Parts: sequence; structure tokens; C-alpha cells
Amino acid sequence: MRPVPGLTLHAYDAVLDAPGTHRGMPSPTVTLVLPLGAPLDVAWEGEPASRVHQWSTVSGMHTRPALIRHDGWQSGVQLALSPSACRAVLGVPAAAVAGALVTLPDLLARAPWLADLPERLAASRTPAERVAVVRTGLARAVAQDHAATPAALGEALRLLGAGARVAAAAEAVGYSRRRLSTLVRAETGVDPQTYARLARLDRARSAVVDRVRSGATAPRFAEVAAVTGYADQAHLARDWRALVGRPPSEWLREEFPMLQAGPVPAG
Amino acid sequence: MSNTNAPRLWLTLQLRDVPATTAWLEAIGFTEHVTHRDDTGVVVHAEYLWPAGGGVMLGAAERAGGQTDWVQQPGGAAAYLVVADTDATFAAAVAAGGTVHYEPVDRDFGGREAAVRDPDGNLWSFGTYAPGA
Repeated sequence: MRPVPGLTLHAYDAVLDAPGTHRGMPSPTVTLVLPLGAPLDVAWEGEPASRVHQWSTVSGMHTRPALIRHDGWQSGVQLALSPSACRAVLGVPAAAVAGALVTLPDLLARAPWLADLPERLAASRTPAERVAVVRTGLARAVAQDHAATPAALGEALRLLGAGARVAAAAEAVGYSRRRLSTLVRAETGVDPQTYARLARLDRARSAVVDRVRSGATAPRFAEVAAVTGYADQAHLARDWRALVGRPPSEWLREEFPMLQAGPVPAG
Repeated sequence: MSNTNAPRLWLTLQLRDVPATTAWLEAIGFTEHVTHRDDTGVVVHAEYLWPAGGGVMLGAAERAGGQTDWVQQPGGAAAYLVVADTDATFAAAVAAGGTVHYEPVDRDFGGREAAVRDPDGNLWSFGTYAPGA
């Protein structure tokens, strides 16, 4: 099959320490979660009315964490779709699902090629079969040849995602700032500044997780801030609190409780 | 989230031919766990699990061009896999485009072992000898 640019596939099968909650971080992608064994129990943090239990969840860009409750075991397949991958797979711009927690059936009028994915996945017996089922669904999706993100806009999003200022991204593709802002909103559901902010937070989260996994020690946030495009640790901590609702050190303790034994620097 | 049964040792590879080598990994029994592609479709980072325990992290060597903190010669890695049936894994490895390094042989220290290079040139030996098992 043709690979889907801008797509991250994650087949997860995690035996966790105990029942608990996991916070889905805001990111510059659309997330599609296809759980196995039990429906995903998810809500926007601080918004109890948004809580749903679903066998497929598509969530668009958002500036708050998603709260996922689990019973100590989580299994399934998760896809992260860049704006261009969202069009290729779901047939709609990411803006169509911005801030949403919708099911695939809710989107089915526009994505019938994915209709049977949750059932086919439930019938699969091995991790290899699961991945094959998802790949088949993705192959059917990309075969639809949906309208792609316009090239200039795609390039502007790439630049914003890599840390470029809005004025620089606009100039690079020959748009006015105002024009770029309108196009980015229509494509992603968020303004260019927010898109760049989500991308930077995503780089920081990924740097923190990499450091935890490689050393199982608490990462140094000053170093993470320096390599992910923040002016300094204070800016990283401020953005993290604003978008995740807690300082990075607290998030780290919640997501990686095994680090509690060691010192975690204030964030 | 912390997964209590996740591998704690990972082989890391930089690949010249990601599609051929990941297809080969799947043919001998690895399962795709994570694949992250950039906006040009290049695999930035992927993780494949060896279901009995263990994993490989990989990325396209072309992505590593500007990266100086992790330099590795593509095709230069070597690893040993514990398998249930050496001859079956050997057959799958060769059928999927691997190059025979040596055919299955009984070892005097125990177990049966073979070695095959993946499409990128990395050397994989595998056998029934399972230290620590």
C-alpha cells in the first residue's frame, strides 16, 4: 500500500500498574483511537458532560487534555494524523473534527471506507492481524484520492510545526498573515499561533518521554526547553500548565509513577 | 502510563531501505508497534516488537543526515533472536529477501542456530539457545 505521509500508527497493548487515568496531550494532529476489549472512556478534562464510552474515537485539535480512564489494561490501535493525513484517511480537513470526540459512525457519511474497522479489529486475534486490519482500512482510505491540503498551505503548516514564526511562514509561501490565518483555521480549526504552540508542546512531550524511556530517570526540563524551541524552562512550564492544566513535573509523576522514587525537578 | 511488561532493551537501526527491511522483520515474526511518518512519508521513527520479549527501534538513515548525536552505520548491526523453530524462521527469512550467512546448524553448546542478513545488510542470527530462560 501507499504509505500515508504524516501518519503515526501505534498498536498498544499495555499492562499497567493499576487502574487509573491517562491524559491525552493536546497535539497538532487528529487522533483516531480503536480500542480492543473495552470501549475507550474519554472526556475533555474539566468538562464531565463530554465523557463518552466509544469503540472508535476521533478527536481533533484541542487546547485541553483528554482524560482517559482505564482499568489497568489498555489495548488497541491509535493513529495520529497530521492535517494532510487527516484528509487522506478521513476525507475531511482536521478543522471538521476540531475539539470533537466523535465516533467513526458519526463521520461515516464521509468515511464509509472505515466503517467496519472496529468490528474487524475486534475479530483479530494477534497483534500482527490487528496491524493488517488497520493497514487494509488505510489502504482503502487513501485509494479514495481525497482532495489534498493545498501545497502552499501544507508547506506553511510544516514551517509552523517546525517552529517558524507566523510572519515568516506567511512570507515563505507568499500569503499575507491574515490570509494564512484564515487558511490555517479552515484547515485545522485552530489559528497559526495555536498550531505552532501545539507542535512545540508535542516536541517537548516527545522529548520528555524519550528521556524517561531511555534512562528511566527524571528529565531535565531546562534541557528539554532548549532543544524543543522554548525561550527557557519558564516558558515551557507556562505553556505546559496552560495546555495540560498542570506543571510538567506533576504530569510526569501522574504518567510515570515509577519515577516517584527519584527526585523530579520542579517544572 | 507505564507499561509493566514493556521491553527494557531495544536494538536501534538506521535503515537505507525501510519498506523492504520492515517487511522482512514482519516476515520473521516481528509486529509493528509504532510507525511515525513525516509529511513526505519518510519513516522518522518506528518500533517493532519481538512478541516473546524485545524490540527494535528504527528510522530512515536519510533522516539522520543532519543529526550528529546518534550516528550509526546502516547495515552494520548484529542481533541474536531466540526462536521456537530455527528452520522455520530461517525459511521465512530467506523467502522474504534475506541473504544466507549460514544455514541452520546444531551447536555443541546447545540449540540449533542459523544466520541471515536482512535486506539492509544487518546480521541476524537466531536459534533455540535461550540464555536465562
